[in-house]
Parts: sequence; C-alpha cells; structure tokens
Amino acid sequence: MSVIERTQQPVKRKERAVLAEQPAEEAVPGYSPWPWRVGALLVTVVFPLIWFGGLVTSSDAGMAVPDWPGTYGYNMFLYPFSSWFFGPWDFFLEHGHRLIGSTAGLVAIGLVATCIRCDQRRWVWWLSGGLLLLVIFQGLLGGLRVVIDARTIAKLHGCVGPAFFASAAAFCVVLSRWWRDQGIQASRSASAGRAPLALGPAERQVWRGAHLWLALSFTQLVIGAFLRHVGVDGSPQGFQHLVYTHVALACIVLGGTHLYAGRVRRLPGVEPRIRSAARWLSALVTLQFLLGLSTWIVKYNWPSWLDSWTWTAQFVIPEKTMWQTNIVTLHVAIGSAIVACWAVLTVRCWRVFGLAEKAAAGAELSAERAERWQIGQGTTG
Amino acid sequence: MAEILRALVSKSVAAVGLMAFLLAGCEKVPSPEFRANRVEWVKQERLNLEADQQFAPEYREQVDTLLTTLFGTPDEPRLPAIYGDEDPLNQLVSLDRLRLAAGPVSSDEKGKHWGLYREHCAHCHGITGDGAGPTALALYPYPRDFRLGKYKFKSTPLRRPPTDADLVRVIRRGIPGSAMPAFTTLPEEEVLALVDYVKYLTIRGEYERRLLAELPGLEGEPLVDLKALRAGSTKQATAGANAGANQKEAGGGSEQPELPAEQEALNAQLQTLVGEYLYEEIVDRWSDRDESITEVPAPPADLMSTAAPPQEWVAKGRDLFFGKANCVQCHGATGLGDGQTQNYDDWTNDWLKTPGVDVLSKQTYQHFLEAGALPPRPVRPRNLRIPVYRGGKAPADIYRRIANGIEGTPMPSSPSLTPEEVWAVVAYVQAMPYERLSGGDAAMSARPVGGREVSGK
Ligand code: HEC
Ligand code: HEC
Ligand code: HEM
Repeated sequence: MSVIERTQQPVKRKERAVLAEQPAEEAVPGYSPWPWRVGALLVTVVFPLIWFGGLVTSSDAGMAVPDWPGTYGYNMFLYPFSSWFFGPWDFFLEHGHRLIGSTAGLVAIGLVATCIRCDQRRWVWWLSGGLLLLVIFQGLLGGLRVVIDARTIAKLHGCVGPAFFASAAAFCVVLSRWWRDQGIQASRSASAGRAPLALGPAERQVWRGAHLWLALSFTQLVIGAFLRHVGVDGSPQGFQHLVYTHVALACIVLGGTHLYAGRVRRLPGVEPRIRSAARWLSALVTLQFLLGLSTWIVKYNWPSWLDSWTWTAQFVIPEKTMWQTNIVTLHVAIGSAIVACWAVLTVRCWRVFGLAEKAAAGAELSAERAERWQIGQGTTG
Repeated sequence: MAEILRALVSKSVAAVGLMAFLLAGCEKVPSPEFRANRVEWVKQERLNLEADQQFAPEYREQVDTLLTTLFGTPDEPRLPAIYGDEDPLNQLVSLDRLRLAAGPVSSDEKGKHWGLYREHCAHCHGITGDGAGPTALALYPYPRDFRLGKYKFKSTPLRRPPTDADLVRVIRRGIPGSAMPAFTTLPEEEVLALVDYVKYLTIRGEYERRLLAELPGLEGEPLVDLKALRAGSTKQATAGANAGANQKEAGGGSEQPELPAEQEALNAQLQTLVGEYLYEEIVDRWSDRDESITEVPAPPADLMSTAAPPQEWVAKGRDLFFGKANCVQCHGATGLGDGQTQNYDDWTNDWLKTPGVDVLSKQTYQHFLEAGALPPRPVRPRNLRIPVYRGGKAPADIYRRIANGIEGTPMPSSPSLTPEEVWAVVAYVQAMPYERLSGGDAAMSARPVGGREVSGK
C-alpha cells in the first residue's frame, strides 16, 4: 500500500529535476492527477475491505446476514446505522463488509468516469472498465456465496478480492505522474542522442523474475484461501497436503523474494522505484512468513516436539479471541499486500524496461518519430 | 466518448450476466452427513470372518437407517424418547440445545448463533465426532474421537463418563499443549449446547459400535426389518419400543391395541435393539455421573502448611514413584517421559490390536487406513520436569490424574496406593520441575506449582 501512497511526492521532486533542463510548459503535455487520485482512493478503500473480508471468514460470520442484496429486508444502505454499528460482532462484520464493498464499487465507477474524462489513453479506459467489471464480479460472488452458501464460491471470492486489489494498485502505476515522466525522460534522452538504459541479461532477469514471483505469490495466496475454506467434511489427507504445499511454497517465496531483492539492489543504475518496491517486498515477505507461523500456533498450537519447554507446552489456543482473529487476518491481509506489491513492481518493470527495449529498437528511428510515440501518452484534459 | 462509454457499459453488463449464469450453475453444497464407522465394520469382519469374507452390504443400510431413525442427521438431530417424559436420554441431552449446536452456521441480528458445532469444533473433531476432521492429521495428539465414549480429563473414575462440569471445563479452559482450544468468549448457553452435542455424538457413536458388534452373531438374519421400520414413522418405531418397555415394567400391559404381526415383530426387535443396547447398555452408564465423582480426600495437614511441598513428603513420593507405584516405568528415571514410549492410546489400539495387524508393517493395516483410521502414533508419557498439567494444575486435579489414571491412555490408575500415598506422589510430581536432574535431594527451590489451594477452580 505505502508503495502506492508514496507515488505522489517524490514524483514531483524528480519531475523538477527532469524538467530543469527545459522549460516545463513547452514540452510537457498536461497531466491530470485526478485518475491517479481516484485510483489511490480505490486502493485505500479495498485494503480495509480485504481486512474485513478476512475477519468475516475468521469469525465465520459469512452467514450473519441471510439475505442479499438486502440486509434483513432493508436496502443495504438504509439499514439503521446504530443497530448495525452497535450490533453483534458477526453482524457488524458482514454488513460492514457489504457496505465497504459497495463503496468500492462506486469508487470504481468513478474511476472509469475520471479516466474517460481526464486521460486520453484509450487502453487506460478499457483497463478501468475491466477493473469495474472485476469488482462487480467480486460483489456478485460475495452475494451468491450468501444466497447459495457454496464453498467453491467462497474460495473464488477469497481469491478474486486480492486479485482486484493488486490490479487496482498496479493500475495506479499506469495513472501516476511517474509513468508519464518515464516516457518524457526516455524521449528526451532519445532526442538528445543519449544512449538508452542498457537492457542486459541482469535487467531482463529482473523483468522476467517479477512475473514469476507475482505468479508464485498469487498461487500461495490461492492455496491459503483453500486452507481457510476447507469444508468441515474435508479429508484429513487433503488438508495435510495443502499445509505441506503452503509451507513449501512459503519457503520458496521467502528465499526467492530475498534473492530477487538482492539482485535488484546490485543492479547498477536501477530505477529507484523498482528498488524500493523490492525492498518493501523482502520486508513484507519476511513478516508474512513469521505471521504464517504465528497463525499456525494460534490456531493449532506449537508443534509437539517443542513441548519440553514450559513456555510452549503450557500454551492454550485462545479460540475466537481478538488475538487469534487478528493475527490470522493480518496474515491474510499482508498476503494480499504482497501480491499487490509484486503487481506494482511488475508494471514498473514493464514501464522502465519496456521503454528501454523500445528505445533500443528505435535507436535507428529518427528522434522525431520517437518523440511522437512517447509523448503521445500524455493527456490534455 | 459517449459511444465508448456505452460500448463499455453494454459489454460489461453482458460479461457480468454471463458470469452470473455460469455461477448459478454451481450446485449448492450438499449438507454434510454422518460418516459410517467403517473402521469398526472392518474390525468386526477381521475378528469374526474368514480373511476373504465380508458382511452383507445390506447391514450397512440397516444400521444407517436405524441410526437416522433414532438420532436424525447433522442438520436435524433427533432423540428417541421411548420412556416419555421420564426418558433418561432426554434428561441427559436436551433437544433444544442440540438444535442450537447442530446444522449449518448462521447467526441473526441479535447475535444468536446456530450451527455451533460446525462453527467451532467440526474441522477438528469431524462432523460425526470421529476425531477425523480435516485438520486431524496435522495435530498431535489427534482430536478426540467421541465414539469410544472415553475421555481423559474428568473427575470421574475410569469407565465412567465425564460430568457436564468436566466437559464445560475442557471446552472453557482448553487443553494446554494440544490443539484443543479454550473457548473463553462463548456465552454459557452455547457452551452448554456444545456439551449436549458432544454427549449426543458420543452416545450415537457408542450405539453404532454396539450395533456393528451384533453383526457377526446374526448369521445372515437381518438386524432389523427395514420395511416395517420405514412403514411405521419414527414415532411408531419408538412407541413400539416404548410399548415393549412398558410391557416389561408392567409385567405385560393389557391395554395394548392389536398390532399387525409385522409391527409386533418389529417391536420385539426394537425392544432389544433400542431398549437394551441403547438404553440399558449405553445411556444407563451416563446416569448418576455426579455420584461417581472421585472425592479428593483432604491432604495431610503438614503437606499443605508450606508454600512448597515439605521435603519428607517429596522424599516419600519419590520412593513411591520409583518403587511401589512404578511411575518410572513410563515417565523414566529422569521424569522426562522417556520410559516406555512405544505405547498407543485406546483410540488407536481399538483397531491396532486386531489379530494380524503389526504396527511395524503398514501392509498389515492398510485396510484400516483405507476405512478411515488415522495412522498409529505412539503416545508419549508426559515430561514431568515441566510444570504443565493438561488436566489442571491444582493439587486436586493432579491427585485425580494419579489416583484415577488418564482414560484412553497407558497412564494407569493407582488402586494400590492409599490416599496418603497418592498425596505424597502429588507432592513429588509438583516438586519434580524444580529438582535437579542428577543427585536430587537438596536441589528443591521452594516454588509452588499452581498455588497450594487444593482444588484450583
Ligand atoms: C483445533 C482443533 C480442535 C478444535 C477446534 C476443537 N477441539 Fe476438542 N480436542 C482437540 C484435540 C486435539 C483433543 C485431544 C486432546 C488430548 O487428547 O489431549 C480434543 C479433545 C476434546 C475433548 C475431550 C477432552 C477429554 O477430557 O478427553 C472434548 C470433550 C472436546 N475436545 C470438545 C470440543 C468441542 C466441544 C469443541 C468445539 C467447541 C472442540 N473440542 C474444538 C482439538 C480440537
Ligand atoms: C504405563 C505408562 C505410565 C505409567 C506407569 C504412569 N504414567 Fe503417567 N502418563 C503416561 C502417559 C502416556 C501420559 C500422557 C497421557 C496423555 O496422553 O495425556 C501420562 C501423564 C501423566 C501426567 C500428566 C497429567 C496431566 O494432567 O497432564 C502425570 C502428572 C503423570 N502421568 C504422573 C504419573 C505418576 C505419578 C505415575 C505413577 C503413579 C504415572 N504417571 C505412571 C503414562 C504412564
Ligand atoms: C511468505 C509466505 C506466505 C504467504 C505469501 C502466505 C499467504 C497466505 C494467504 C494470502 C492466506 C489467506 C488466503 C485467503 O484467505 O485469501 C494464507 C492462509 C494461511 N497461511 Fe499462509 N502464507 C505464507 C506463509 C505461511 C506459513 C510459513 C505458514 C505456516 C504454517 C502459513 C500458514 C497459513 C495458514 C494456517 C493459513 C490459513 C489461515 C486460516 O485457516 O484462517 N502461511 N497464507
């Protein structure tokens, strides 16, 4: 999240540096910060939504409101505030989850409108539309999950939510001033005849690696969702396999992320935003690994071979306490944050290395033509 | 612009509609059902039949139908009430509470919950209470299989069921060092509903085992006349058994209406199957539990006079531990629990002791695993060098563990010890965590374990 939040400030600083060479008004087409702002708002709304969703599952509150789209016969938004806010915990969670979810839907609609109004890039419009579609789909899944109470749908709902969160975060990168500045910078370098960023094997590895780790982190999340939604009549063997796979992949993701971050750190002249995302990732994944272990302990106790220590042997699982629920939910939420972080990093790689690739390919093209395709992404609205 | 917007909207609507259509095709998950006790079935076959023989599959249906008629389903529990208002089973377990604990998870605006067992317990103990919920293999010890009717931590002696207070306590306090959680946040009403549901699953499970044990003796005859059973409603069926029971009590009642011969025969069958096997052999065991509680005699006065147990009691306890009580056999000379470590608990021994099964060779018991048995894992005697007692740390709790043993585990009762001797062993057990491993005597630091109140809370 904070990766996204920080997008605004440093961009401005850097922009000044970039533009110092030339008067701003001349070459830089207008940039509207509004799409990015609405996008950031969407991300900000969805993160607590994931948190709430996690709490709903942990508290088994999914069926605290039996109907949908209404709430006990009321229109969802008209349900008396005080009976909800001061009502039972399960009901608070489930209804709250629906309220934030609907808000996210509204913001997503606003995002499409803002993009169409303030951004000239058609493909951005389509992407914003796709995002809206995804959030509608997710809402529908959530509703169906209540109406027909099927586990498959609960699992799907648990996986699409984080996917939406990650997509929204990645989309913000496309909307950011940074994105545009990268284009300007590249075209200036090209027109000034400066050599583009060298795209050696190390860079390509970082670029490709981002996709791999994004995919593996998401797979890990999907396995986690299956772990969470295992049915009461599921087989012990199935659960055990899920646990083994989740732990094995956790080790792979943990090791891989650190290796990746190390590689990025050693890359000369790498874009600071790629570096910072990688740094965030190694911190988050380490935290997540520890949270995973804690989740196991607060749900199923320490492994029995640790029972020669008084401290571990006397531990009693604090079922359905705030303690337990929040550790588990934090594990769920950070899982989503990790996937989102990888998505952001991946999109940043596309931008930086993609431009470099194009620049290399277009080195023979005239500076004039190069200018056109890069600036063309700016906006006038 | 407006065009594009329109295109976007119409395409989105189409796509969402398609997805909704696809999803609506998803079946609603079927309600979970009670799982048949196939392990017991296979065990009875191996105990009683030739190696290649099996019970007729019809028996499965007969057993299932009888169980469903009497006990209902996970969504709709039922209780036979053959003795009317005085029915001992209905006094033991309340149907209203069962309804709160059974069924799918839901709650309402006021915070009332249903489906408590599935919300809180089933992922470990299993829908059937067979201790084989999805998480089971990942836990040590395995979650309790209620169907044997055995419990470890209770105030009653071996072979007597726990009291409701014992079950409430286990649910409220959990079992340290195991996966059994402490449910501190549940309202009293819900805990009591869960207690009744545990008793219900236990009695149902014991009864199923009892019925399966009958199969070898039937020699091909049906266990129960299914057609007659289905024809008569449950009420009739239980009324039939009831009539039988009343007849027995009243020495042959006179105002019985004439029944068709078929029904008559069914009633006779039910009298044995329900009146005898269920009520006399199983439900009776659960009555008067409060009277069977093991009283903990007051400890000798000087034992309780100091913060830590006095040396002479500790020394006496140590002698018993290594001598007459022979605790050393399992808990080891060090007390670390490294004596006999290759014993199995009763839930495993129940099928592991079947002739032909060798724990060292998996092929010999593969068929049990396929029937749903959890792989055998030895129970480790407790490490007594750490002051953690799963059944409670108050001296009275430890007293009961030592005097009564721990049901279902190798830990034996100590009938040969006098109450005073048991107290001495308690004193030694409490002192062990603070005793130096080598040498012994002088190394006791005067630290109390779990307070010196005799009976915690
Ligand atoms: C996370 C898994 C888990 C959950 C959830 C769980 N249990 Fe248990 N339970 C266990 C394990 C493991 C044991 C066996 C502990 C042992 O043998 O020392 C156990 C033992 C028990 C016992 C037997 C205690 C005895 O003295 O032998 C009862 C009764 C019980 N559980 C009831 C419940 C009820 C009721 C619930 C739901 C409210 C529940 N359990 C939820 C894992 C669980
Ligand atoms: C045949 C083996 C055996 C013998 C003999 C034996 N124990 Fe145990 N003991 C066990 C096992 C196994 C357990 C763990 C039971 C379980 O699964 O919870 C245990 C558990 C205990 C506990 C822990 C109780 C709790 O609440 O956690 C104590 C205390 C204990 N034994 C004391 C003794 C004493 C004192 C003696 C001698 C009188 C003794 N044992 C004899 C096998 C044995
Ligand atoms: C760094 C790697 C890890 C990642 C990215 C990760 C991710 C996740 C996610 C996203 C979920 C929730 C899925 C959902 O509901 O949508 C989850 C669940 C879970 N994870 Fe992890 N995890 C990691 C490591 C671990 C480890 C090491 C353990 C230790 C055993 C663990 C144990 C669990 C458990 C038990 C659940 C289910 C929680 C429940 O039942 O409510 N995780 N994981």
